Amino acid sequence: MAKTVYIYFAWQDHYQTLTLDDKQTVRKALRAILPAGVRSDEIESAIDETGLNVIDQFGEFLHEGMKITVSRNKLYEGGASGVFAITIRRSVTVCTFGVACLRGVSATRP
Amino acid sequence: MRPTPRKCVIDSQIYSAAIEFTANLERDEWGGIGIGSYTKNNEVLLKGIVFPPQYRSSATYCSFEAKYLALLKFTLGDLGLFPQVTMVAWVHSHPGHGIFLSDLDRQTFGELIGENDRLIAAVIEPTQKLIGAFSGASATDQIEVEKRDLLWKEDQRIRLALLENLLPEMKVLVPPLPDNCTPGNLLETLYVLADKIVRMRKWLATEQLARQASLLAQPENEVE
Repeated sequence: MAKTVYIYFAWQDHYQTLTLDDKQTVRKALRAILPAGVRSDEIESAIDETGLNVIDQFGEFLHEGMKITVSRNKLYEGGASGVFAITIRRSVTVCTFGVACLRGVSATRP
Repeated sequence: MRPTPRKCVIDSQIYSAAIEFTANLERDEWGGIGIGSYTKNNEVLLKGIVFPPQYRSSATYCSFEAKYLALLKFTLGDLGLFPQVTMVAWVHSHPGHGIFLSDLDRQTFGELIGENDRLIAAVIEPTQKLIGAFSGASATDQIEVEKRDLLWKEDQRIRLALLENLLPEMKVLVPPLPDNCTPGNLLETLYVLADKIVRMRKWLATEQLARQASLLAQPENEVE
């Protein structure tokens, strides 16, 4: 029996409906409605209302009108790492300068 | 585009809870989502913070997956809180680094502002016990942050307190249930919501099972 579920594409804040039959997996059914430029192997998960990943579940286990959130392999990243990169770069400069000095000293030795 | 917020007001309990939580993570950074609302004076009212499980975190980096943001949005909707309560801030901690936004932070903020054009970026500095906030399309403007005991509609506070039970995989910082909340009020809200929320039904069932299990265990304890 065909069922219609609500699909929410998390990365673009967009809802769409998807109809799938009992023998289709969510992953397979999704192929037909993925936005242009998105491959199905980029899809990481399809989370149902209970938080369960149903990407490889068959239609027979879903219920009509269910809401499913589909995510790509997307991360929201934060960090102070930029500051540390500058510090490391500075110390590298100091090291290179130090090595050059040592070489210079060595070269002037008899 | 709507005017960007010029001030961030954080509920006093949430302010303290956020500092305490991020101070106890062995100086790793942690990212999350601030939920709340806006005033007519263009202030952000930060009423809660939700920290999803971190995909990766270290002393200088943190990340969480987009699916948790979607899950939070659904849950706010299910609780009847959306759109009055929505995502108002992207929050992350900078333990020992100070209040600022790195290039990576600004890049992430740029992606998230598509979800809400009045979004702010909040940075928690647990070692200095400070929270800073940034506003604007590229989060370039540091705005004033005020700690305040926010006033709540009782029903909204009950619903927000339930968020913790509906998102067990996340660390949810919301004010506790009001002192004057009677079991009657709570049950009324619960039953209104339980009609439509699968997650709520599951949680209620688990609670009920746990209660029954403890009742069953009671006679054995007495025998011992």
